[in-house]
Amino acid sequence: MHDITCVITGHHERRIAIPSLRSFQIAIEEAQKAGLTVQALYLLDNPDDLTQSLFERYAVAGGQLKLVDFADQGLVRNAATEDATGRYIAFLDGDDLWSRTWLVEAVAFLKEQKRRTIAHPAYNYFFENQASIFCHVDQEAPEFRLDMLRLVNYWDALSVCETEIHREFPFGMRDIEGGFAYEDWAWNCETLAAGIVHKVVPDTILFKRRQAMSQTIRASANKSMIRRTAMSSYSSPIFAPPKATP
Amino acid sequence: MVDPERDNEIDRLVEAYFDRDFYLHVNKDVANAGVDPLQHYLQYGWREGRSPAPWFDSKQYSRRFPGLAEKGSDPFRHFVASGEAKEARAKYAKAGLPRTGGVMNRVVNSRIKFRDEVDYYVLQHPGKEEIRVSEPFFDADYYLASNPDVAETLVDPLVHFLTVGWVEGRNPSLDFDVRYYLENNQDVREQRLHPFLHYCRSGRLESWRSVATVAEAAIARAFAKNDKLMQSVAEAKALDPMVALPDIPRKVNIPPAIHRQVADAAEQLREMFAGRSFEHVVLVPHIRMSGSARVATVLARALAGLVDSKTVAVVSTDTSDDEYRHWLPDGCEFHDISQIVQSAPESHRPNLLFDFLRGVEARTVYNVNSGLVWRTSKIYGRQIKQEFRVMTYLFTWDESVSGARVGYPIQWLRDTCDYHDVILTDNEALSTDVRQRFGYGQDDGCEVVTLYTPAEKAAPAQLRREAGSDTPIFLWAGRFDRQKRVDILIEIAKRRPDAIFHVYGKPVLDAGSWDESKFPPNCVLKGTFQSFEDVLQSETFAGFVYTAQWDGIPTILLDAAASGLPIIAPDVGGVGELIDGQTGYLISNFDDIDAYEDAMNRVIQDPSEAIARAERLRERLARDFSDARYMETLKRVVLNDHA
Repeated sequence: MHDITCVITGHHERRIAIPSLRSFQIAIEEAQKAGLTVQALYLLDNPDDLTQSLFERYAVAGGQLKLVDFADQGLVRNAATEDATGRYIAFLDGDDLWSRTWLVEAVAFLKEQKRRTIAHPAYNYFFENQASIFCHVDQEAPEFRLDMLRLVNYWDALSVCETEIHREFPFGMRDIEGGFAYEDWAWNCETLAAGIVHKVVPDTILFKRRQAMSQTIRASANKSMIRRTAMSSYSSPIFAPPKATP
Repeated sequence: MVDPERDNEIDRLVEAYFDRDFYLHVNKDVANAGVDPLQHYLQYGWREGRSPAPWFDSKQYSRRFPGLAEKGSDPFRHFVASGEAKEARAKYAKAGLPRTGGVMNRVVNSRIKFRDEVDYYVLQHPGKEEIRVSEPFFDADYYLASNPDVAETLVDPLVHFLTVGWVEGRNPSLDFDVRYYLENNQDVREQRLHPFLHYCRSGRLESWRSVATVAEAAIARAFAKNDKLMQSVAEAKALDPMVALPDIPRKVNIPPAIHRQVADAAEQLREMFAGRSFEHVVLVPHIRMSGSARVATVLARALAGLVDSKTVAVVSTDTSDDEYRHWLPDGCEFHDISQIVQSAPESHRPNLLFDFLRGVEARTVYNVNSGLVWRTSKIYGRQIKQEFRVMTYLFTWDESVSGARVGYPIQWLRDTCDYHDVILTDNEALSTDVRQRFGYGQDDGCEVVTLYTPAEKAAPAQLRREAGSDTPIFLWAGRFDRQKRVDILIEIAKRRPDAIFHVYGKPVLDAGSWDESKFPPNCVLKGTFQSFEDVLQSETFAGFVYTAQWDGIPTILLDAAASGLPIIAPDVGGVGELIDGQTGYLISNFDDIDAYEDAMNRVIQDPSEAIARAERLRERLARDFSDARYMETLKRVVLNDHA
């Protein structure tokens, strides 16, 4: 049993995976320095040869490399969850970067929480083809609008939470042809509807590479939608007015 | 009680405080007319809401004292009489606002500093153009609430902002941060342009401009000052220099702020239908005078008879026009979501509709000409088809001025042709056309079903039964739109000055080009009607004349047929399925005036034959256009999936 399982996923990132793999290892080293035990998982979904050899090069430093053939980011993460031995689990995509202190701060934050909580970084810093800073909104912040989550996603999948939460709520499958994607958004809805709280770790940041044709852009161009979730119905208990205290 | 001495004193004070230079500067029409500005103000200006001095906003003052307008009193005179003018003028002078463009221009040092650049701006009292372009984007309530010192004065808040306010770092609304705009738009800064006026005139239309709300700018500034975050950014840049790119101002995105209107609309819809669910949702554009609205009400009534009526809702999506809501059956759930949906940006409206359908747990969606549903189907048709059973009603195409066929059965159906489970039409001609063009068959996922709209039960019309020397009266009713070819009716009427035409209807789609004066004197315009039965009882009619260039089976023809009126109608769309040589007078070419005239002659000269044809038409109605047949067909279609 480890304190945290760190998962980096790759498929065709090729050499741009290198900064991501380096940031992955730097954040893990920082976590270990802070006394956390870490399981590192390198998940490759039907990769090209170069991406695979790069992942292998980094995995030899300590970690498990696993090859899968899903062509689906959600299913890859689910496969990682199956192999996870950490109490917590954290995901990184093979073209994004963690900040050095992300794991340490997220775990410390989660340990302080009394309720089941999913930790998100305060900011996503988009680069390469987009210059923006995306603010993650804490579910308990006054500006959070519950109804908006049915139409707009608040948080992406690069969160940290107890591995058990992912076992209970695995990511749904993408169906590009049928027009259903955004498995991270659907996962946010399902977990939130189940009473798990999405919180922001103050002053933390992740770096998201926006490539000319990212999966999110492809999903948008494909006119994809989020699947129906537990909070799609107006009758979902999550919309029930709070019960008056006797 | 009038006190002449006090009145004279107030007159003197008004004159003393009146600012002639200012008045002439902001009222070019007065300056150009060469009239005395004070006289102009006293005679006309205050009534027109013009301000007598830069430190007194007539409109704002009148809002504070609404009684003044009711009494027809000059607000400035009232203010001067209250003794507050002296202090207001002094406050204004202290605030350093310019009085006019030409007299008080001066160079000021701004509190907004940029690196080591010298920053100065020329303050000018804004002219009408500046007020006009900036007013729509200025939030006076926000400005006054966030700047109590300005609220204390009687200065127009927009004037205050456009002159000194922005230089002092004040913002015009929550949606625009002055400092961010200047910091991130170098050209505006270097040219010493007024940032807000630049934004209002052109910047807001230039997608590449860096614009931030007050909240976004605050986060951007806090981010830049946060050493820990900046250290993380530096480390990331060291790992991959691409992190610094693109090297342009970084836009801050706060989802709840960007999507505030979407969140508001989604919340309102959810609250409107809190805890409700409707298995069958009939979506209509509106409930106004149209055949499709009528058919939607027929469909709603039939559904209520087929399934649990509590599971059926009729929902209008495009406009709030529900003039003919009384057509809906008693107890029918009717909701208008059009205003809520339209409060969100257009790009989000299809998502809102989808969210609504999921929200009320719809299973079968019936689209009866809802533009929103068609637009949503073009984007999310695949997903709609997977989540709901989609029944789409088609009535007729439209024709462009040049005669090209356009509309829902043409390009809209082409773009969504795989996303319908059942296409319902009210005439076999359109069903055949759609089947032929798209190859719909029984086994390819989309069934095309002709569902003849049942004729309403109607009391018999009063009919002209004998030929004679009387003046025969014909009835015409419909929309005064291009499709209905009112011009043909006018030509027919001109040919038959010996007949009278009672004309019911109004322009609906083509209201702009309508000209009543084109009707000859034998056309009596009767306006619209609420009850066709009342129309029938108003006069003894020889027959019903229908004109149109394209159509399905117009419901007005069903009404006329049910009442036993002899009908003269063109062979367009599905009209031939109702009217033929046995059941009326079918005009082969819709614009053949001679044929219309000939048919009218026959109706006038041989009323017995005309009535006999109308009787056969009633028999056809009873057979093919009955409630029972409609219900039987609908039952097969609706319950098929649920069986």
